[in-house]
Amino acid sequence: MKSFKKELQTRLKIIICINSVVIAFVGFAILVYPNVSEISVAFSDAHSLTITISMFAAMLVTTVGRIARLYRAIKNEDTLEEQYIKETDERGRIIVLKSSRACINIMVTLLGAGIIISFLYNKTVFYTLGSVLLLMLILYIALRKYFSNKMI
Amino acid sequence: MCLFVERGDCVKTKIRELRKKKRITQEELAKALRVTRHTIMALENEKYIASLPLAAKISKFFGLPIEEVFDLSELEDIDYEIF
Repeated sequence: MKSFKKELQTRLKIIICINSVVIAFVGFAILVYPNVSEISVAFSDAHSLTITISMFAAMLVTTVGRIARLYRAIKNEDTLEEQYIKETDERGRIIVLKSSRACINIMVTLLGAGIIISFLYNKTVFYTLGSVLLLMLILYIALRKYFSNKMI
Repeated sequence: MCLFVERGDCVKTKIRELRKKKRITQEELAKALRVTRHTIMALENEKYIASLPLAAKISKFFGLPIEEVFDLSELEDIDYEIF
């Protein structure tokens, strides 16, 4: 349990570091460019700016929640035990693995169908979906090779 | 159908029986083995086969050898003659 507590402490430090950098970067950007729409053409319309700000706010709230959860687990032994069980329960891990695998299979099937349909209507979409599928295939082969070498 | 049991494999367990004999709840057994209560429930209902470390932990908890907690006789037969 001690090593798990140490792992949580490291995780907490990493999250705080990354988020401090992100917040500092965004704060700096706002200070330098008070009119945010000047930063990029991507923010040229109010709609995309709203979406970006909402996504950033959601990320911030999620991170604060995660930090609070980790902090509580480090300070309280019972919560630490609960967190440990939640993260190491083998059935839970298998559920995550199986659902991820099923999700990927469904996504690849839909992507394949999308490629076939887009070939008939829009070449740009066809090439975009095709490159995504190719990238997924390369990643899959690389990861499979990595894990099969690791487990020898 | 067993969600986490591979086709042809069936492992019967005596976990429920042994737990009741010991007069402990699923929650208490789960806490002792550091797994969730759902895992104990799935093991008792034979919907999930425990990994070797967990099976060893369970049999150690009840003070019995693994083959007395888990009945492996119904596992798909292996043709030992080829080895």
